[in-house]
This record gives sequence, structure tokens and C-alpha cells, in this order.
Amino acid sequence: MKGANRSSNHVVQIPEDIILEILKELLAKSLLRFKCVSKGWCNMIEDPEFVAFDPAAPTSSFTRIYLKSIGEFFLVDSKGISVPVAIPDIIVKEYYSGNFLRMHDVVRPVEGLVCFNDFAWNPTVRKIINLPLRKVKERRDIITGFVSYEREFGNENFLGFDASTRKCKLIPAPDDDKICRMVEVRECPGLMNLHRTKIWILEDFENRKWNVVNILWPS
Amino acid sequence: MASKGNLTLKSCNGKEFIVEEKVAVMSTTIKNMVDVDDSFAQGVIPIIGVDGKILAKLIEYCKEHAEADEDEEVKSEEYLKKFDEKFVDELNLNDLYDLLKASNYLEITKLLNLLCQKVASMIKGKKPEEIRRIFNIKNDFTPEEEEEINRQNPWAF
Repeated sequence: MKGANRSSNHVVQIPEDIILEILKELLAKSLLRFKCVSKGWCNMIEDPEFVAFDPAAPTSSFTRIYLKSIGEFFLVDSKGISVPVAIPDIIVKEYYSGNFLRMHDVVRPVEGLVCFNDFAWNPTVRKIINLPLRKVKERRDIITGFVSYEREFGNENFLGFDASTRKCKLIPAPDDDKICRMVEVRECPGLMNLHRTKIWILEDFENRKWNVVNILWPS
Repeated sequence: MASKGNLTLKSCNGKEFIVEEKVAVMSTTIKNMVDVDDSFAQGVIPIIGVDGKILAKLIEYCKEHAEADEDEEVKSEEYLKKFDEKFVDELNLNDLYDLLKASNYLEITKLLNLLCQKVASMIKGKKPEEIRRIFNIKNDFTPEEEEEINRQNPWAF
């Protein structure tokens, strides 16, 4: 039997996709240490898709990032225990100076990423991803929501998550729109203008092609 | 031949298990087979690469969870949590690895997550060289490359 002669030696090969699932259960400190296990492990941990994975998934006890005060980020678990999180210099430099983050803000990451205007930050693996954006005129707040997140947006962007490809997508608000709401149209991300009866559907993410649809209300 | 509502699963070393369909379809792979081809539901489903011992373990897990999904009062969330803890604690390393591969192949997502969490908790405090030993990985970095990576993240060590 296969198992019998192996009992003295537990060294077995585990497929990479399972290793990846195991790595997703680990916090940053272990992950960064394990980068030097091998080139394969290093590539897996540095892969942008892995950086974009969600540490706040239901399997993880950490549910949100809690911004305690200026200059400090904490991860808070379901029992209320918080762990300090190191903040990248770029966030300190660009955002803390202008009182960008208020006291005691709860920041809900989208699939583990905190979205800023021109980059997204994964606090778990301490990585910054630059986002493919047009120039942003004004910085106002962290975009934290994806679904049913309603407020006034200027030149702001929405961070969304495409479950089918497991990729984070950033949805820029259309130029001529001020007040809009994130909607889903046929499982595609879209924006609805609350004043005018229009929906922008993001048909092509790569080329940022919007399809504008007028809503026909039943008479 | 299994009676109605039951499926027969056959391990790679020829051991047969008759299980209720609701238990077997906790595996997405088996569910898809049964959904697509009715003949599987009447005949024997071969579970390739999974031996009798591991298959018995899988069935034990799926049975508890299928029953809990059906009746929360008999098998509460707390009961299930205790069962899961006991289930993974009693596994030796060989079984843990075999179950990982089997639950991945059979797409028993809940079990795969549970086992991954178990392995993660086993390895989280370990040094890179211990990780290489556990997973049988060859260090393909030059000493200079390894040092460079270590220098990037001094606080991780």
C-alpha cells in the first residue's frame, strides 16, 4: 500500500495551488519571512494577485482595519483585539499631512485592499499597488465601499472586486457625473447617476470603456 | 448497488462506501458528476487517487457537515466547531497532506479551508529552512539573493 512505506518519512510534494491556499491563511510577518524559502514561494507571495487577496475573508478573524489616530493603523479582530500595522511612508507623507484621515475612522478594506486615489494598499503583506488612473484633481477620502456606497463623489474612484477573475478593479467615476451610486448591472460594475436617469456600465475595464444607458421607467 | 438516494464511492484500493447523496455532494466534483451524468447516481463512482482510509475520513467530515446543514438544532455551529477542531487535531502529517490533496481534487471547499488553516497554524512561527524541510522544497537562491530578501524585511525575522 502506498501509505505504509511512507510513514517514517512525512516529506511529500504538495501542489502549488494548495500551498497558495495555505499562504492565504498567514499574516504578513510569516509571509515576508517565507519569501526566502525558494524562488517559487517568493514569486507566489509577490504576485500582484496574491497581494490583492483578501485577508478579511470569512476564514480570517481579522475583519477590518481600524484607524485609531493620526499615524496609526490597527487591525482589529472579531474579539476586539487590535494589532498595530506599519504604514508605508507614502501614506504618511501624502495623506497625514493634510489631516486626510480623521480620528477613529473605521476603514473597511475591499478584498483586503485599502484604496487611495492613485494606489491601493494591502496592509497584510505591506504592499502598495499603483492603480492605472487618470490624474486626480482633488483627494478627499478613502474609498471604502463597493456595493451601495452612496455619497457625493467628485473626481473619485470606486474600488471593486471581480469575483469571477478574483481581481480587484478600480472603477473611475465618469467625468460628467457628480453624485453617483455604485450599482451592478448584469454582474458588471456600473454607476448610477442619482439625479439624471443614467447608468454607466463599465464594459471594458482595460480600456475604461463606459457604456451609457438611459433608464426607461415604466409608465 | 446503492439504494435510491445513496451513492457508492470506490477508493483507489477498491474499498466501497455507500453514502447518502447529500453527504457525497458536499464534494463539488462529485456533485458535478452526478448532475451531468445520471448513470453515476446508480453505479459506482471511482475516487481516483484517494485510498480507503482517506476516503473514510472525508466521508466522516462530509456526513457531519451535511447533517448540520440540514438540521441546525441537532448539530449546532458550536458542535461543528468542536468537531472540526477534533478532526484536524487527530490527523497525523501523512493524513493531513493526503486529505489536503483529496479535498482539493474533490472540491470540498470547507474542509480544504479547515486543513489549510491547520497547516498555516503549524508553520506560521517556523523558520524558512524548517519550511523547506516540511514541504520538501529545495532552496534555489544564492546566499546573496537570500540576504537581499532578508534585508528588505528585517522586521519579519
